[in-house]
Amino acid sequence: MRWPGGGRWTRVFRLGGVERDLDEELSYHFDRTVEELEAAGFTRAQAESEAARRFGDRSRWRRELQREDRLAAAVAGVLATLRAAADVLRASARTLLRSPALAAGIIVTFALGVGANAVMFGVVDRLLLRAPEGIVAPEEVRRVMVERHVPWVGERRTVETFTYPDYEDLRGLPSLAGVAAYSERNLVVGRGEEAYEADGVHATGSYFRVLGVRPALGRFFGEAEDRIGGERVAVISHGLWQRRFGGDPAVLGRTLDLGFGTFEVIGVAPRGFTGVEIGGADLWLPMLSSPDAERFRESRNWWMLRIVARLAPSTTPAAFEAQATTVYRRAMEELAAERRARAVAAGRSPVREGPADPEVIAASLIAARGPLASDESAVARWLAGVSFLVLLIACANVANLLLARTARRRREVAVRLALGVSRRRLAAEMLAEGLLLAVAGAVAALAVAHWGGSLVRGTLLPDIAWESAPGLRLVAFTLVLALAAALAATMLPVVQATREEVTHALRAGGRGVSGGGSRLRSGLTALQAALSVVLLVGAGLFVRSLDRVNALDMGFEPDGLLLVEPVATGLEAEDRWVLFEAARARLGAVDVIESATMVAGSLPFYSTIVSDLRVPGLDSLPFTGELPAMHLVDGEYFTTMRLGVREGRAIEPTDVRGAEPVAVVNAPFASAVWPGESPLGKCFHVEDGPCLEVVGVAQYAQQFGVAEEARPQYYLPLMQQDAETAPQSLLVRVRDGVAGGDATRVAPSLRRAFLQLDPRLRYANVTPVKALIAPYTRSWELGATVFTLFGLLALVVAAIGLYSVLAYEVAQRRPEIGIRSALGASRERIVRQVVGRALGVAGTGLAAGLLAALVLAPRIRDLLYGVSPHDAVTLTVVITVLLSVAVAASLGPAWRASRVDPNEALRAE
Amino acid sequence: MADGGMRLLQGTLDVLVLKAVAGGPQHGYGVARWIRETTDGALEIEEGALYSALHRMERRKWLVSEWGVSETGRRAKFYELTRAGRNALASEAQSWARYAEAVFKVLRAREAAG
Repeated sequence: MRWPGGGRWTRVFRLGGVERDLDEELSYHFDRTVEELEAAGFTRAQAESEAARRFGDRSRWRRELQREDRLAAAVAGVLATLRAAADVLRASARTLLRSPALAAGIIVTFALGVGANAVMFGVVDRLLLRAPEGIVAPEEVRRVMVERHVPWVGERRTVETFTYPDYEDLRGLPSLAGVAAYSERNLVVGRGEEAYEADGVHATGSYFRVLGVRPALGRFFGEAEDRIGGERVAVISHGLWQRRFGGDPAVLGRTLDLGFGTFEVIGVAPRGFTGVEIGGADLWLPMLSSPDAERFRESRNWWMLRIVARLAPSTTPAAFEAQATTVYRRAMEELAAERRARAVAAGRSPVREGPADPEVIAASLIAARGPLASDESAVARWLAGVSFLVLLIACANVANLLLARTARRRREVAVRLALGVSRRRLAAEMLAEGLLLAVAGAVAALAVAHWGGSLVRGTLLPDIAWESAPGLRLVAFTLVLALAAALAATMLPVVQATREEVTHALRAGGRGVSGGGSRLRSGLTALQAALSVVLLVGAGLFVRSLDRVNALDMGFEPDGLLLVEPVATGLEAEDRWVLFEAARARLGAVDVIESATMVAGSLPFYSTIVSDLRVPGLDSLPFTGELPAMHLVDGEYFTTMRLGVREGRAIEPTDVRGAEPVAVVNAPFASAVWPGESPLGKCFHVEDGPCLEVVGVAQYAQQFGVAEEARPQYYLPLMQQDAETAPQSLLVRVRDGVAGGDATRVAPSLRRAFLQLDPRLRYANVTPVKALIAPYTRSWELGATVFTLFGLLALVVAAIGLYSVLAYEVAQRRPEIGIRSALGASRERIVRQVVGRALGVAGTGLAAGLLAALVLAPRIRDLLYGVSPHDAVTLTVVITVLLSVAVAASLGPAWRASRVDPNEALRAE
Repeated sequence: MADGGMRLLQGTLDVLVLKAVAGGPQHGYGVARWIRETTDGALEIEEGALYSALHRMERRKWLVSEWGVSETGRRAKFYELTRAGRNALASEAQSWARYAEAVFKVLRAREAAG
């Protein structure tokens, strides 16, 4: 027997139906049993009770059957859903494969849009979201900073450098579970040819305990090792362990020659641990094993420590700040009193001090979130926001491409709807297409993130220790973003497609009147253009800033200048003089080297040394900001630096001990001390020295930061200083054009030549002065590069969008164009019309984009240099570029429109 | 409940039910009647247990059910063996036969000795 099939699944989906079926089945059974028994002679009542007896405990069986059926229904439901989903996926995969060019276009768009975001996420995650690796309960750990008057800057600032006594003052605070101090220091390990540089950290014995890190191997040092004359022990980073020791566990017990002592390796830090900073760190040494420990331990003038504190449970950062501020102020007041007393005793005019009301700040462990966030992190934050615009553009473009296809497939959709395929099924298929594209796009985006990321990280943010492999967080972020983007991009086409009126679309023959869709598409294209404009304006502003910065007159010429610092032990001041004289002579004889100069004191972009000054006839120094930077230089300095002299003469080789004591000052110095007068012939005292005659006025040489105001500076002959003062480093000028202008290539031979001079030399650090300046221009470089990349990307995507809209419109309107040309419209006129349409769409986007850019740009004012956020040049260039691109994108479709043959077009109708 | 027949050995019910539907689509009432008639009422089976077995085996895909019209013209739910059900019946029947044979052997051996 066959029976008309009721679809099993339809019933199974409704659990209420399950129950009804069960009752119907059981009542059938009961009724038949009763009928059978009645036929056998039972009375109705007897039959019913016999039937009940045969069935058993009715309510119990019913419960059990119900449970069974529900389980079955649930399993079947899940299976059916999966099967349906697989079905939908298969169908949409087939659809995608039918137009591989479209699929590729969408995947590439997703890859670029999502990839750009993944790159920026990687950066922002490292800079802003994640605490430095390996620190336990990082939310309890704070960077200690202080807002105070800074004598060497001359104004109130937030600083994060402290003295060793400051650290000791904080140790007993009840609001802290622990406090640690550290200072970074470039180290040279080994000697001679085998020597290598390492990023060292001097850390207090409490450091590892406060951070809560566990060693990967061996042990860490603690308070017991951190004392003067204590055991000389070192902890190395996982990276150094791998690089230099091949990950050999036998590294424990090995010794490292650091020049000021030989240190035994006792432990290896866990992988990824770089201390409190996210820059690299290779080697940790006990704080008091430093050769300077005797001097800094008691000194309140030795600002070189950074402090981190772990708050005690249930204390607020505010409580700690209040306690620490009290302690810090007391110390500062004592110090100021001492300094005043000393100055008075020496008969000097005391240095003017700012108001002594420092405030201690418990800042976030994540440096970029604190008050001392670098410009790079501010730019990175903006770029992350901007990368989101790129994603929006990508979504708009994908939506656009899908809409175009929807329009082409109208007839197919209409037929399927007419055949009874549900709109839900159609929508599901389109969403599934989006899903497939998203997954493919996400994979491609990870590739983009990998390569793009290494570009941004390696060249633009080189000071940060990046992990080599993309983390799980990045992969998860990319996938989620791609899915969200796909969902957003498929929404419009889905709505558009499923709203289709069946008869209407069938009658229209899949062609012609889809005005709504076309308007939507040009709207999306205009949006892309608008977003591109915003990005291009940003790019323009950063590029112009970078230009301005690079064109800045440094006062000296940094290109081709190398800073050479010898690393030596046991050299007295006298030895240094001999060594440096020899070095200068030897280097002077090398043909690639133009000149070399010996310096001490301040170095551009490296260090600022100030000293107390006294000017005859003045009670106090007239400097409003910081004290003038003191440079101790030899007779070659001005020529080697190519530092200009405005008036008088430079320091010359004849300015030796015994000759008239002289000085060269710069213009800000002169105008502050001798306003309206020529400084030549005037004199001033440094500390208790003789009055130094001013013989020249130097050009301002940028000291720190490329966009700073000119600060007072002065130059004294190194040869006229007391016997204790010896040269500290050499500045070497490489001949122009040598080594293709890349001074770093000369470094190894320079180092070798230098090391041969004296066996006590262990190593020589050779650093291009350009490299010292680079960190100061990096935020503009980062902004200019990434903004430009994103902007061009956006422009290309928008151009493709515009092209596809126009191409589609031309294809749709062939008959109309044919009629027009049959009626005598010239080709030129048709071309003009298509190009005009492109300019219309682009112009709308341009107007909206310019408006947005004008509103947004002032917010990045602080990140720009020498450029108004409403820079006319930038705006003009962006307008020209966008309109040219629009015209270029329209030429293809316009040409095709002009070739429409009226006969053919009309016949097709 | 009057204990008029033998109690059912564990796991026997499934094989009986499978056998009952092996001849063609059958509803629950038909299964119950067939078992009663075939065994002459020797097995006392709660009919509720029978339905439980039917539904359980349906979930295990040994049976499929569909609604149809019964010989009396009423709507009833019919069960039919699937290929998996047929395989299950065959292997169950085989293991039953082996089991019964073994039990018989033991019983005969005891008679011979006694």
